[in-house]
Amino acid sequence: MDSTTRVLTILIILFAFAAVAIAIQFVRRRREAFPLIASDAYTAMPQVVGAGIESGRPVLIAHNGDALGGTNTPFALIAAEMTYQIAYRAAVGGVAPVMAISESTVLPLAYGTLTRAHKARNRLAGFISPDHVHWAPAGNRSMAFAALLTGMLRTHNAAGAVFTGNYGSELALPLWSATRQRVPTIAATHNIEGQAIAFALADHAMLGDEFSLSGAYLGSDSTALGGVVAASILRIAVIVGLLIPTLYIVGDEVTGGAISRLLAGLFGGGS
Amino acid sequence: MGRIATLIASALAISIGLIVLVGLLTGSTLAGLTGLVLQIAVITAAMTVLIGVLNLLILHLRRIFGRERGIIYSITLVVSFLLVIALYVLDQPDARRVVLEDVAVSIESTLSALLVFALVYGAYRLMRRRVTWAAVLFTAIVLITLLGAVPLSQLALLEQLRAWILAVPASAGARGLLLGIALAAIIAGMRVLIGQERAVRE
Repeated sequence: MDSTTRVLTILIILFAFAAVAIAIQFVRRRREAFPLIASDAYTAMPQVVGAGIESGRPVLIAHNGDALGGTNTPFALIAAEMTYQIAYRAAVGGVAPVMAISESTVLPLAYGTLTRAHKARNRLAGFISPDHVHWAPAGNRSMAFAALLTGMLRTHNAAGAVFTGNYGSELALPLWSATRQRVPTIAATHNIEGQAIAFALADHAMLGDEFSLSGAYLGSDSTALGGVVAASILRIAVIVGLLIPTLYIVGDEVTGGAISRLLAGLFGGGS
Repeated sequence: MGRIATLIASALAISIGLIVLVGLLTGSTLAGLTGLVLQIAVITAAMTVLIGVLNLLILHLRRIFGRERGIIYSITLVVSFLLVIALYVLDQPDARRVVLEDVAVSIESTLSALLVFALVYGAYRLMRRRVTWAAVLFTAIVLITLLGAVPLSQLALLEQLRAWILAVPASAGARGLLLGIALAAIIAGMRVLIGQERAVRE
């Protein structure tokens, strides 16, 4: 990493750190001041879980790709939060969600998340069982994992399916299978190719960074909403950061270099 | 007792996160410590593979002995597992290649071919479910992209349009989405560092 990149990275991290810390404090004091935009997928999620409780069938949560300990660790944690919110709701009915994961490092996280959700509802007794988390060692064979999911939908007689993590075009396979079995689907992938597939094939697709907002939409936790506010602040900062150089270049071209001369006059410049 | 354990876990996660971050960014004396922490992470990841294998076997053996639904898949998995181990023990690289590569790759290729039908069905379903501007735009772009890839001189205009769509709006949209996704990852990381992530604080 060269020195310029290093300085920029440190600045971005410090800015993000400050934004998150301050936003969480603001939201804790005035939660109602930050309303969320309606989300189709997050509105449907409790309904899918509710349908599962009524029919006594589990919701399948399939997490592909993101492992703990690598660069995708934040995505694994984001998926864990979504799993928690689903399991917390499903715990009322006594039918725990079934999880399929492709990375072994996510196993402890998956068990921990399901346990925490059931503990929060005082429904832990009789829950812990290897049946709830399936590790499918697909490695870099994403198609194998997708094929496994088509089988799991039928084997577990799933009431709904939520796909989280890093799916590419292979996401079409389980979504197609779910459609044929009339299983409602929610796709929350952070892969752009996967998001396009989800838009076409899933009943409810989360686009952009929507997959990261489950805590804010489904939970009562102020810190999650604080994270959303901080992300909005960072997004505005990115837009401003993109607009300033664009305006500078365009303005300089239109005015025949007047802006450059003005800036050089104000701040000085090399001869 | 549970509260103390949570506090220790939070303190460990925050301190290790900060050590790794500072070590990677500054390359200072913390770099040695960062390397050690990363090595521990790699060893832990290797251990989870063993846990995963045990989990997988317990799960499927329970299914077989309990004669549960999908028993045929469980039998196939356990037999394949034992077969691969036996081939390693007997040192049969050719047979191993057949099981691990030839069979798996052929099946994956077949499934990949099915994707085309899934996508076409997706476009059809999207329009049948509800005709919105987004659905019409999506279908139109799909058609232009597919037709633009056909090497016919009569479709040269579509080829140019396809190239423009891929280079300008698709590229800009993808970068915008990637920025949003990167921000989501940064926020998730920051929440771990300040001890607000559920996996760390509960």
